[in-house]
Amino acid sequence: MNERLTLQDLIDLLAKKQDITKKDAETFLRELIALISETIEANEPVKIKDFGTFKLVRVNARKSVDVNTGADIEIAAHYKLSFAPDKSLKEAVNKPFAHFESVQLEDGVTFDNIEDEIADLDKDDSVETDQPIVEELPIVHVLQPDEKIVIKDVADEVEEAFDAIIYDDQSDRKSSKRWYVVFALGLFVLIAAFLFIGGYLDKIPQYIEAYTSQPADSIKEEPVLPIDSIGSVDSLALKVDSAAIASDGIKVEPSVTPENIGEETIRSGHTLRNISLQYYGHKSFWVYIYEANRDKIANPNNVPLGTKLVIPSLNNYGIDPKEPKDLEIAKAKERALFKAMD
Amino acid sequence: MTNQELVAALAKRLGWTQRQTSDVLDTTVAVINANLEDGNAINIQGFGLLETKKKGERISVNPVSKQRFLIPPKISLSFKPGQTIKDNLKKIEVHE
Repeated sequence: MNERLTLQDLIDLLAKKQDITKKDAETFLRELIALISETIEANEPVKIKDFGTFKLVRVNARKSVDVNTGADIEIAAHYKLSFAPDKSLKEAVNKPFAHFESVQLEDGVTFDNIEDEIADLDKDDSVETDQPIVEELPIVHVLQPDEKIVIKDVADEVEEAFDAIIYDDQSDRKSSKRWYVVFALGLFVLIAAFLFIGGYLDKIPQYIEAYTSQPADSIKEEPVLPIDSIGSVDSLALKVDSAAIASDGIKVEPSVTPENIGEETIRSGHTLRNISLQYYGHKSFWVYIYEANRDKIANPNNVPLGTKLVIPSLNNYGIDPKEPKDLEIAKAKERALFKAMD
Repeated sequence: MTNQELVAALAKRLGWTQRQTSDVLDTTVAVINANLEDGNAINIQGFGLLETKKKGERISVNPVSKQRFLIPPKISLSFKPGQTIKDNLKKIEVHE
């Protein structure tokens, strides 16, 4: 594949296949070439069966420019040697692509569009629309200039094919095109939505932190984004406006039980994470606050103001907040929870 | 020059029988074709270069019906004459 054979290679192959000596093969090939050349030079075409035809083609004189001097020069009329392969050879060479066939195109479709932005939906659609229709259409035979076909037969064939195409086209064209537009648009919207949500998923903890670490004024501008309901952003913003400013001291009700080390009432600016920070020394331990208060917390991203939470003692879970290993466990829980929230 | 004539002339020059030369010619053609099918090029010094070329798909229009067609990609044969032949051709007088 993709090798370049020389005369020697041909000689070797011929000798092997025909079972003659290499010397004979060489003589034969050299004679053959000489004969063809002489015949050609006598302006006589040479036709070889199952191979092709060598013949001379006249080239008219043309005006050109001398490369060195720039002066005008005329290239004289002359002959050039042309080779026209036989049909069987042409088909054999084209075997890898033999299954392709010519097809009719819709109006207004060009293939420059494919290189343009893929985001451009309309153009995508027209290409998309093409593909299925292209496969459904019956075969249309395109006349090649050198194919010698009986014109009468082909005309009939072509007419039939055209009729079939026109019929299919008219019935399918409009409905298919519209369907594809709708489908592609819907798909695009879905994908965009998922990407959007996916992007925010990572940022939720950040948002929660940002929300708490800034004074109340700027909270209004911050886009706090819980996953399930965008409506709650508005409600939360409203609560922010009317609720007390975060500079309020955190009220701790001193009802300490063996399991709990404290209680917390949610005020504006509270998040599970910063409560965890306050009690346990690290934000990731909020997962345990969540677990202890599962009946009260429906959505850890959005705990309504005024909810009373019990802050459990981490000993209940066998966790020591100062152990890095336990921190890892807490983080793993965190990840699992995030995943479950999708 | 038809195949027959070619074979006859060749047999004469070689001194072989017609049947022999016909056979060998057929084998030669078969070998060349097989290589071309595989995508190998054949270069005969002085005579020319026979190679395969890939042609990309293109849109063409039937000038009569203005029908647009998408012609699929294909592999085709090309022959480039060698220098010796080209020189010899220049020597030929062009009539008209």
